[in-house]
Amino acid sequence: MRYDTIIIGGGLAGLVSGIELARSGSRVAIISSGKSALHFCSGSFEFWSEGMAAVGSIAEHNPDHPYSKIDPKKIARYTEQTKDIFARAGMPLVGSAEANHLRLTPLGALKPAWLTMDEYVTFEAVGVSEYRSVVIVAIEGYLDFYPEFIAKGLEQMGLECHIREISLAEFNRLRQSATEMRAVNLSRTLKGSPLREFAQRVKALVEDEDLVLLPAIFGLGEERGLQIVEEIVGRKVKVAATVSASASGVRMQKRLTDAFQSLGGVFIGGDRVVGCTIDESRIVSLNTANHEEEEFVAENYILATGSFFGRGIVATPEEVYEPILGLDVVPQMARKEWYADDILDAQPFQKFGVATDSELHPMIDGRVVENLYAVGSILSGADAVKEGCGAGVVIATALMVAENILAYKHK
Amino acid sequence: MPLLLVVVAVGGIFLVTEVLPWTLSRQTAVKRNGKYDVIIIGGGATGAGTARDCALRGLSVLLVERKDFATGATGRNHGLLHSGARYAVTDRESAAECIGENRILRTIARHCVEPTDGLFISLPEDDLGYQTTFVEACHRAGILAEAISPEEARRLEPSVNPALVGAVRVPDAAIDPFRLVSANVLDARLHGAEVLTYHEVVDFIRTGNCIEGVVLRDASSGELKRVEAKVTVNAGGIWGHLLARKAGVEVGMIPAKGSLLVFGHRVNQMVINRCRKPADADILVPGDTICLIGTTSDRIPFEDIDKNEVLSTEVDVLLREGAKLAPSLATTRILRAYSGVRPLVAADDDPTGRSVSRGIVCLDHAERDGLEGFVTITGGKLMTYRLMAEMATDLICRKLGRTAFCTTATTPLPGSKSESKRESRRGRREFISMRAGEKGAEGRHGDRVEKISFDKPTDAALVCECEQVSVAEIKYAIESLDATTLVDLKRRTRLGMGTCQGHICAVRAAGLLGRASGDSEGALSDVASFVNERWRGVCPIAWGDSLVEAQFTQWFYEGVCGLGEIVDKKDREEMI
Repeated sequence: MRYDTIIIGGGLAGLVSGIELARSGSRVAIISSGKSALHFCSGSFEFWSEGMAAVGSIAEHNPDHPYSKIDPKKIARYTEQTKDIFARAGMPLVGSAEANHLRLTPLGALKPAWLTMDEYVTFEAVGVSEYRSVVIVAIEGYLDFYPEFIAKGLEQMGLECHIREISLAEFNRLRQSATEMRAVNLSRTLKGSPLREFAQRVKALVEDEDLVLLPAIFGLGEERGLQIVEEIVGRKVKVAATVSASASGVRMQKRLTDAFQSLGGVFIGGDRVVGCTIDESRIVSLNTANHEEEEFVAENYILATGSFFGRGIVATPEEVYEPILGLDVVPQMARKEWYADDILDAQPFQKFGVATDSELHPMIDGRVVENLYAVGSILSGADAVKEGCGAGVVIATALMVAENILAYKHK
Repeated sequence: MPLLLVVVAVGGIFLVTEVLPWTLSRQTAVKRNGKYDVIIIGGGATGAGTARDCALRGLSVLLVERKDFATGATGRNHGLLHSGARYAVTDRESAAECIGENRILRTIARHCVEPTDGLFISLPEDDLGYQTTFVEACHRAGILAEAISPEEARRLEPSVNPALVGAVRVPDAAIDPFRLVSANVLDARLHGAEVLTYHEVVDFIRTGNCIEGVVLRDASSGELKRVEAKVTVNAGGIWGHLLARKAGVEVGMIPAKGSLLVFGHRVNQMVINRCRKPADADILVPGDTICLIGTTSDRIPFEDIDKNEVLSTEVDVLLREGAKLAPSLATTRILRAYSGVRPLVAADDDPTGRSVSRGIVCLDHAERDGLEGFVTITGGKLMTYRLMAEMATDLICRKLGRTAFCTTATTPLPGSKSESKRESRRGRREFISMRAGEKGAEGRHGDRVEKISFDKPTDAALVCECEQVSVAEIKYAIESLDATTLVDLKRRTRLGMGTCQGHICAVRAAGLLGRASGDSEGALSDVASFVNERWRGVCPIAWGDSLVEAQFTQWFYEGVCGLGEIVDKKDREEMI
């Protein structure tokens, strides 16, 4: 099977680069094992938590960071490109390349964000709110949304918070199994008349609040779920993130996969690369677990398999390695140096990943693999958690590599 | 913070407050002139067992613990109900005590014990001749020990090292120390005892040569409280060394640290031991959904007794030796590592010399040091806790001039009083129809599951999916088992003890705890402390799947939730 580009990994990095390449007419395949961090998405993407203004000087202080390989002048364009990809996939985003906004976390913290799904409540800055008072609607027996915690965050913004609870007969079926009251299942239930009944109940408990805040449990049962609720309630309705698998994240994964396929991309799910032929410094072909007898051949290959969580890199007691191609992983240090005592502090292991040159070509024993690119959280040098750059690194490197591949092709 | 080391000047600075612990008391023994008959210091198995024994004998009791129950060596060992075979060759008296207590606990603490039986295996490098000595010694101590063929051993326990050349079957079993302590405390309270957790003894009230009570500091408010008693019992485990010193007497204890590893699933169904003289990492014990290998043994300085650190060299020894018992351990995911500190008591520091050979040390300091009103109970093992409690309570009764007899050997603990639902329903349709959370709760609380209401569908929802802990069980632990923090809830229910080591369940339980206490801010800071408590155990073995989980944990709590911004760094340092 011949393609222009084969992408290993079907998470956010693989899908974004795949969509950009497919849209320009390339023949692209994505090989995905099916596991993606997107399933736990908070509804927001972060680029740099210290602020967008600081992005230009990252290379100076932090030469090993993936951002040091990205032209800061391109970030405004990448931002627009991202909004465009998501809008076409049916999930408009708000946010800009100039300044971060604030998102509300499930525990009530306010954290800087770059882009957020427009269904979610966001604020321009601390103390700047277009709302005066809010009713936070909890669902009886649903444990993954904490109105009390969320109210703490909103009170910081000067909002008057009221907490009210509703229940719905349709949810009782979910309750028969003790693990079913989860965002994804609630979201699948909320369609047709139960969705409208739900909206009526919400409407009944709104008083003079100017914002209705619901858990993020819409969009899987009925694509326009939240808009329908808003129309019936007749008040501004927004959602806040839940814990556990996220309905928005599952929806995002699905809509982006659909978008990729509708552009002619080939999505090979539930498969993984098990073998690879390398000639000199180029990949010749790949083999997968489910297609043993077939060879996957392409001009270019993109590795978007993620960090430890995505199994893009693997740790043993002695070392950290890249399991598919045996790429160089940095930094290598004694195990006791991998960790910090407080799990909430910066953990050195978060920066582990493959070493790359300025165009994001990884290496084997110091030698560049010319037709291979690494994108997303498999790249070394970024601490997605403490720097607040997880999605930023993923999206910016995915767009940059897609752009470079297309530029070479046109040459 | 090592609160035990803090010395507070005796004098006018104490805030003298009435201590009014919340109790379940039904038959409170009368506290005369505001004075308890006995104050017991230490919420481990020994302290809890002594509180129960004293309460059953009609004494007025206050049990105090500086943290939560079972936070010391009690909750930091194998959870092995020894048959005594391990000591048969080297210490016959301990072996006889073990088999006696083994039989008693199988009845009175039925819901805490899993009768797995055990094997003592000989590997090619071991001396098979030792097996004969071993079996004879077991028989002399009254332990049923039966040599079986390697084929039979492999049939009984398929995970055992197939290279074994001999095996002896003994009546070892698994015991859950958290359940055991919880049931003892509960029964003590049902018989009138009062209980204060998170209260540390910062000083003793002393008149002349007599200890007349203690000064406590409430960890949450910082407030100091004076409480008086006729007899004060030091059941502080290794911390008892420092307590005794504070009271003005020396009990020469030596801290012996042992480290263990918890594996992500249950590889073995029977306890597997090495048939040789006791050494490092030679016991593999199944328990609930997991199994445990241990221990190492190292003497450490007193400065380190609160550290509970596990070194990578210890992890290496445990893995290497463990794989010799059951080779599949080498490829089984390790969930976490932990360590505990056992109090070894030096013989030369005990002038009477009587108790030491037996392992259990019960000291009347009036007789030994001329200090009235003070008793130390130490040494021993988790599984001889009841016997230790009996010895201590006999001594207390003698000192108080009471004649009540011990009944703990025959009185079942709450949870083990009647046949449980699960037992009576085994193989029947009603059992299959029990909800997951109800089955989980029953396994943990025995017949007390009757006190847990699953009537409302919302109560049956699972908070912790790995360990099947429901909303109802969390509520019960908060209301009836003195759980005030998430880590307490972990010890009462196994919340967060499973494969994910506490991801989402911590937030869910914090929501319930915050609602129960009305303090959602406190509940959030508790989440940080819970997640870090889990991380401490994962850190020494964080590679492979454990590092995958750790990355997800940090990404979720710090990245998605922003917990580090909510809970002040300074507060977190105190937690760590």
